Amino acid sequence: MDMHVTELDGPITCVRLDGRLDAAGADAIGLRFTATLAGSGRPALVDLSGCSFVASMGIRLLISTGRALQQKGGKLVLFGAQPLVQAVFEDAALDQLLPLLATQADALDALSA
Amino acid sequence: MPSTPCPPEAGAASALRLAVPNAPAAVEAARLAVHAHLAQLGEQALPPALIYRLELILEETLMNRLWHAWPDGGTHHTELTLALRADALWLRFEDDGLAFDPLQAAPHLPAASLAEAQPGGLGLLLTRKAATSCCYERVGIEPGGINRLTLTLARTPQG
Repeated sequence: MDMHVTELDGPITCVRLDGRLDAAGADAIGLRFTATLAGSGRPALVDLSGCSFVASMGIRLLISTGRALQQKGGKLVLFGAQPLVQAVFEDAALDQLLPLLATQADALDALSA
Repeated sequence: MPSTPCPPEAGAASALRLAVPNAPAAVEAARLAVHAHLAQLGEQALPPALIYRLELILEETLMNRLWHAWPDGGTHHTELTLALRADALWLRFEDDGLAFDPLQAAPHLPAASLAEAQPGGLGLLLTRKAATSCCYERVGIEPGGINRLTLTLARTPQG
């Protein structure tokens, strides 16, 4: 599991995840992922288009990071989930907790909404 | 997902049998062994959605055993059996850990908000949704009983 951080105008933090967000993947990036996104309290995007598999520990990481960011007044928006990953998010009702958008443009719109 | 009578032993000579140690790295090794087995059977063309459901069940079940089955530690194994039938994938997990019936566990309830979200039970929820049928039995004589979880994943064109 790899994560790549970019700073967008706003400023907005964008993290792209590549690989498998299973228990091992969540463990590998967890501390850095949460620190990067929740540390500053800035609005943030997570690009999941390179993420081929997500299991419960990955969903827990997204929820805990989204909550930590929310406590600092920021907002976390996810985008680009592959169809099978999106189906698992819906099974877990993650879409009730965090905005899940198709594209980065949609996600930026959701951040400013 | 309904709880159904336990399907019989896979029985097929081509079934995969793996002893998966209670170590985090063993979960990925088991996933790779399952893929190697399916490839050996010439089943590379299983639908991606079916493969995803299979991987989800492997991950959630093996991690659950790793975290909860043996609170006193030590080296233990989960015995995994996988058989490919014409209509379904057949999976069985057996371990000598604490008795645990995942079908009786408290359901994971959707949270009303991010602040209220509780992490517990999500893996079990995803396992139940990924499986077509699921059956739990505690077999053997206590102490020394065995958890036996048997799942099927129906094969459909969509997976």
